[in-house]
Amino acid sequence: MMPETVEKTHYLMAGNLFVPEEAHLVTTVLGSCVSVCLWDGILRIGGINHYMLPFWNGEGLASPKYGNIATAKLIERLQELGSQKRNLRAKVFGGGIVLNVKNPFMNIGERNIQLAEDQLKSEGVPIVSADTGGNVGRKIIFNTGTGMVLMKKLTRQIDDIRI
Amino acid sequence: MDRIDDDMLIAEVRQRFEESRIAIANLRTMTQNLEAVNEKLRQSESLKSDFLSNIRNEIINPLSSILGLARQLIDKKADGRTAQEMAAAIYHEAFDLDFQMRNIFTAAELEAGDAGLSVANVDAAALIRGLVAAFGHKAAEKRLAVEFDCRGCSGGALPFKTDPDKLQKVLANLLANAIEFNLEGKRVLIAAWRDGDRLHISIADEGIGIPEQHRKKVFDRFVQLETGIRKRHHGHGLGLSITKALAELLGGTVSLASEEGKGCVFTVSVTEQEAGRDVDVLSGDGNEFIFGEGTSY
Repeated sequence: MMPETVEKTHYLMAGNLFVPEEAHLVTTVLGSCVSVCLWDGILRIGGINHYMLPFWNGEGLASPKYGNIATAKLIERLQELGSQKRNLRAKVFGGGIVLNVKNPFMNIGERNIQLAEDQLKSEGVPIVSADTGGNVGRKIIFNTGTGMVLMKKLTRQIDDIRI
Repeated sequence: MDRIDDDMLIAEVRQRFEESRIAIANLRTMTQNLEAVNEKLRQSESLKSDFLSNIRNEIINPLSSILGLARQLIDKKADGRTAQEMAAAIYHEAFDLDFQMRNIFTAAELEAGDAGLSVANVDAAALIRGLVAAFGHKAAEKRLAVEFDCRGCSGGALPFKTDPDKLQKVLANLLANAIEFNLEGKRVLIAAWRDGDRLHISIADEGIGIPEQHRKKVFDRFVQLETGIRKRHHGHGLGLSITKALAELLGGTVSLASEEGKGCVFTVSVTEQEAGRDVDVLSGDGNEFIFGEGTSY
C-alpha cells in the first residue's frame, strides 16, 4: 500500500521525464514503451522516464521520446540534484510486444528493453528489479521518496493501448 | 550416427548458404541505415553549432535596434509622426524577438522532457481569430489577405478540450510560416473543422511550395531550406520541429501537402483530451492497488 506521507502526484506522459526534488507518486502507463525508474537511497530521491523508441535518428527534436536520450538525461538530472551515480539503483518496466512482428529488428518493445539494459550497464547503474516484455500493458506508480514501484498488468489487449 | 546421403548434404549446404546470404543482406541494410542515421546526427550536431553562432544575428541585432529606437524616443529626437513609426518599429522587432525566444524555450522544454499537458475547454475559433489579429501587422507588410473559414463552427465558436497554450504555439508557427513564405499580395487560407474526437486545422499559403525531397526534412530541428548567404528568412529552423512534437503531444499529427509553385498546406489534427486526466488516473489507481491486484517492486 502507498505510504500516506506522499501527497504530491504526477502523471508522466510518454516522451517526458520527471525528476522532482520532493517525493511524488508518479503514474504512467506503458505498452511497448519503457520506463526506467532510478532511485538514490542516500538522498532518497528518484526520477523516471518514459520513452517510446530506442534511438534518436536525427529526425525532429532530440527529445526523451528516444531511450538513448531519455536515460542519459534522467541520470544527468539526478546528478544535478546531487546524486552520485554509484548510489543509483534502477527498476525497469514495459517493453511489451505490440504487434506480432517476426523480424527481431522490428520489435520495438524488445529493443527498448535491451537499450535500457545496455545503457544502465554501461553507466554502471544496477537493475534491482524489472518486469518487462510479454503481450501486456502495464500501469506503474513510482514513489520517488521510497523507490517503491507498484505495478499492475493491464488485462486489455495491448493493441488497444496506444502508448 | 545416421548416414547422410549426398542429396541431403547438398540440400543442407544450400540452405545454410541461403540463410547466410539473407543474414548478410539484412546486415547490409542495417549498416546502410546506420550510415544514414550517423550522417543525420552529424548534420544535426553541426546545425546546432551554427544555431549558437547565428543566435547573435537573430537576437542581438533586433535587440540593438530596439534599444537604439527607444533611446531616440526618450531623448525626444522625433516628432509625433516619426515617433509613432519608431514605436511601430520597436513593436515589430520585439514581436519577432518574443516569437523566436518562445520557440527556443519550447524546443528546450520539449528536449528536456518537461512538456506536460494542461487541458482546458478551448474555443479553437477564438484562438485562431486571436492569432490572425496578432499577426495582422506581418500580413499587412506583405499585403496578404488572411481568410478564416470555420467550417466546424456553430455560432462562431468551435469548442474543443485540449492544451490551449500548446495548440496556440502550433498554429502560431504555421501561420508565421504561411506569412513569411508567401508571395506578396497573395492569400493565407485557414480552415478548421471537427471530425469525431479530432480537430483539424489547415493553413494554406500561395508561396513557391516545398519540393518533394525536402518535405520530410523541414520537420527536423535547425533545418531551413535556405542557408548561408542565400538565407532570406528569419528564424532558427525550430518552428516546424516544435510544431510536430507539440502536435504529437496533443495526440495528433501535422502533415504537409504542397504543389510546387502553388504553395503549401499544413494540416494539424489533434485528439480531444479528457480534462483533469491526471486526477482521474490516480484516484482510480489507488483503489486498484489497495485491493490487491498489483505487484510491488
